[in-house]
Amino acid sequence: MYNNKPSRLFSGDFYCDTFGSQNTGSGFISLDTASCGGVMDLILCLLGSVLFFLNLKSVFSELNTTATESQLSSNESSWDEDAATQNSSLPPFGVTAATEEPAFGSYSTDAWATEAPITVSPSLGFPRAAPTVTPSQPLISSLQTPVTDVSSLCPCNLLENQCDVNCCCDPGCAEEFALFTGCSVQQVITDSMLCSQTAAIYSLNMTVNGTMQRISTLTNLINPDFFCIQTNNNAAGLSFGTPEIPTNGNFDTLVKTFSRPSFSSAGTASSTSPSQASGYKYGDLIQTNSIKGILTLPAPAGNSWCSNGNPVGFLQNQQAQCNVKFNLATDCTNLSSVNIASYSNFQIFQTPGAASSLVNITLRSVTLQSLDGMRSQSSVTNASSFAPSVLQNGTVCSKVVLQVNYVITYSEAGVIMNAEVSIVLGVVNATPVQQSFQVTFVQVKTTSTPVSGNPGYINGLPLLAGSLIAGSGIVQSTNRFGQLMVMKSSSVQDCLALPGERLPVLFGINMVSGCSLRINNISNCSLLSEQILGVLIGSNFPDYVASFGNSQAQNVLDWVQINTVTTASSSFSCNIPLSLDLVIQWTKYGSLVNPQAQIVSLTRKFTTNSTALQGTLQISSTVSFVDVSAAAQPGYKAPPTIDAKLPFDFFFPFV
Amino acid sequence: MAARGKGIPILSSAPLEFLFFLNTWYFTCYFIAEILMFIYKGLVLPYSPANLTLDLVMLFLYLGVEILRLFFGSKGNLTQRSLPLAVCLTLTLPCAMMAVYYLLLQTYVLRVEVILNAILLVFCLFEIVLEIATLAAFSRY
Amino acid sequence: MAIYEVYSHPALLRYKTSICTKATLFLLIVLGLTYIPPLLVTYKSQGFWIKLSTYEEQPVVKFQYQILMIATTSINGDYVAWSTFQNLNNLLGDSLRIPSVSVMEVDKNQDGKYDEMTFKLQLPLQSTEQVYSVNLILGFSYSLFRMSTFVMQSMAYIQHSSPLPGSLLYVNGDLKLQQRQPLNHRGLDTRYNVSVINGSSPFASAYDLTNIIGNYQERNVSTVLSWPSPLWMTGRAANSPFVISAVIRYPVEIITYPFQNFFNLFVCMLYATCCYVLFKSLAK
Repeated sequence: MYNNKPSRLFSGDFYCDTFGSQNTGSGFISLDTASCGGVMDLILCLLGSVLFFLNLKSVFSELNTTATESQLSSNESSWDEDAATQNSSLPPFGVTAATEEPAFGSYSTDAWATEAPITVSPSLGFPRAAPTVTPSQPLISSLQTPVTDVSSLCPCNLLENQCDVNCCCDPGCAEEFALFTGCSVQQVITDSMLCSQTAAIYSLNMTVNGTMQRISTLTNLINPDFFCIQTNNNAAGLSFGTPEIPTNGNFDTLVKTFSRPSFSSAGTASSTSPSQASGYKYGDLIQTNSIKGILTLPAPAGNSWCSNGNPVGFLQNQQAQCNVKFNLATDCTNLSSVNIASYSNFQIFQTPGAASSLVNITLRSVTLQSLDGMRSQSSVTNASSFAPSVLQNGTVCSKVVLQVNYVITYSEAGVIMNAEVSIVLGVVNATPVQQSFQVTFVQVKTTSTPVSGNPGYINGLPLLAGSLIAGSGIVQSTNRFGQLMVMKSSSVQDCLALPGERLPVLFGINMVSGCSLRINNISNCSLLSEQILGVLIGSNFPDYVASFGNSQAQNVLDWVQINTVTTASSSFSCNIPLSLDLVIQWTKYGSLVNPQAQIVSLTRKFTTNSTALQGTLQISSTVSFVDVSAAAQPGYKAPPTIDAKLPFDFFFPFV
Repeated sequence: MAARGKGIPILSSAPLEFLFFLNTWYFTCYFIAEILMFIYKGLVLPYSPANLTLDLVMLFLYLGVEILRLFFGSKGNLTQRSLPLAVCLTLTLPCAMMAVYYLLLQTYVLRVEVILNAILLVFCLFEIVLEIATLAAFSRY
Repeated sequence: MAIYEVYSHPALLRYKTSICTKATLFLLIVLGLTYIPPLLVTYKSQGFWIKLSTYEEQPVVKFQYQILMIATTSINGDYVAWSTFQNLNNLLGDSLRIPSVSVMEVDKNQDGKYDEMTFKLQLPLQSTEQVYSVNLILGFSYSLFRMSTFVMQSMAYIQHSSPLPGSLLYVNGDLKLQQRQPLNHRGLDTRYNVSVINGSSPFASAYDLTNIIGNYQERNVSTVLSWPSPLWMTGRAANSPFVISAVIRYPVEIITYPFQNFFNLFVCMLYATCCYVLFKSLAK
């Protein structure tokens, strides 16, 4: 409880400690300003006032320098001549949709005459874009003073001493207003954020005489927005800042800071300089002594046509099909991409660098393909005897390169030891011709047998299948894509005339294909049935299929026997198989984290005809993969049902 | 308290106290509104960092000075002492000047700020008049 | 009149009762009403645990000046092509036809971000050639900054074919963002900041359109050009070029992001506290 001392203007007394010791009893001074009298008050308020007045002074001095010091750059030396214009910085004038004509093509005739009338502002408000770099001209003596007066600004006035159509602010228009239909620029303002600003408003009016009259008024626009700027004391805030003028010294840094993607920065060719190392590295271009200098393999680039300049990268296996178009009569003999010589008539450098030795390209095999697709191996002789030639009066071109298969052997050091090529030449009578090209890299002294999974099958890889030979395990075809195959649809839809090409069965990929069989009169039913069976299952259909993707041929227990199911033959005179369905049941094997696909069974189902044979029949062959994995989570048995059946007369008296 | 016979007449000015009370609440809302306004202006309008810092620092100083002023004014008026009331009077002038600064001279003045600061200015003017009258009343005794 | 508080002291009143009375029952009911309804209200208003929310932002889109153009010039499949990748141009051989290209990017509302791009490509053709189909790929860089800093290289793919030989292909559309998963709410996300076409590869497989489009569609966030049917004008003079004209806008996008329930929890707790205070005062 304090005693209320009568107030005096200047107390000058120090009551602090007496009060403190009286009340708290702890003996320290409690700096209660109310009890310490007016001294603390005075000190505090003097301090505050001093600070306040100091700040006020700095405020006023700062206001004077705001306009001049805000955006001055460090490069002031080059601006000495322009000191007069520094206070009013350069505003770019309104570049809005109306003034900038779409400068392309002929579609801009009345683009902005028919647009909705727009508002143009001379200095576009608050600069948020990066300042533009003025072209590095020599020191400019004086820049144009920017026009900020709305009444003298006319952005549609593009023709000097001539009247611009529909430009109501053009001073060059005197009597032409009768020809106008509207005003393209209706309003010129300084900034839309200001509360009140002068605006020049242009409009057309029909007078009582019937003439068009242009009305231009300078009004005060009031912005109804609550947050509009009533007073703007920062004149520099309405214009863009002055950018740094590029000189020889700072040009590179400015380019690095401000450069954006453009046509000049795009599309520099990557010059892969040949490494002078002692061996090729992955992706290196393989050097040859041909005209091109590198080993190329045609491949489609962007579309399906062959591009001859596609290089081969070291250790990058490539396979592609593309089309080549040429005139059978004139280009057959002189087109290099169909001539065998261009694929085998050069040598490959063993290591990059001109000083390395050369490796010949050996012709491993040459296969000749006839017009109907029959292939025959040719004895390997000199490649020059396989030059393409025109036959039959220019309608047929023979010995055209259809397929090229390079096998390049390399050592661990990246040195190319050997190069072999297998080529298929064919006879063609129609262009464009589809060519397929392949290059494979094999390490020397290794025999790699690619598998279809490790251990479970991988989607898209071919099934491994073979026949069991007593005593030596499973015998498979060497081509892993040719171990289990099904019929392929071709342009010759007749089943009896199908070419021998077949499709490999790939794991996880369901397929269907077929052909049509026309029944005229069935002469020999069993012969027809055999022929159709041959078409469906092909030659050498295997007996066993591997259950895992990497099953070894020696472990017979890893292989699953192929079952055959034939639907019961109905009682018709002639039964032929109409469809072959390969149903492959597979399961997920192993841990839940990394399940492996395992084939459980493979069943061939033949369906014979169920109606009498007549007309045109469709023979089809399908492949289906069925996932028979057991559920991973425990299932619960269904609750037991009480299967009690009451006799119908249980409720005798009432029923 | 000892009885003093007739009793000391109450000289504290009730309208002035009422004005101080309203001013306290109004200034709280004004301060919060000004902070939000500065956030808005700082994001939308182009400020040089010096200008924005100056305006904000002045606002916080304004807060300090106004708190002191209102405290001293209320205290002086209620305890019927002239010294705090005189301090309040001297502080009212800078406060009025600050209100004028924020009304006219700051970098960007929004319409809302015009209204808010005008009200503050009206408060200051009325308080000056009443403080002078109250000081006169106090000094007679 | 004016009341100035001179002195105050608190007074505590305690009312006690036994357990099985109406007062206890009332107390329990009020306790229940105090704590449970606020939670129920917040849960029912679907504001309790939001997984996905959206925000709006104008992206910063810049044309990267990467162009790949293939035009078929006959019904047999003959083609001409050009790109800004020198390696692909080297592979094209005789099918390379170099056009004149002009590009302009405009910032219409002066907010520092481009709003529109105008593209015009004039492909010179011989008098015997006619254009039947056009494949065009334009590369852009697309950035978002408001929540996470998301930078990616994206593309616009324009393809049109017609049995009639054309003189002009005009496309006018928006470059819209396609999200298969929400973007992060903070951090740097540059997993797609890889050019759509690898221009430094000399191999033809890098320019295979099925690979390019297949890899691009694998992305979880990509851009697609959405436009109504393009305009295919026929009737080209013998020596005039084929014109591809495109106007591509960069609109404001609505982007989904995972809502940060931590802050929502805070607001929800605040809300619950207010309800609690209200009910408590009512109970008193």
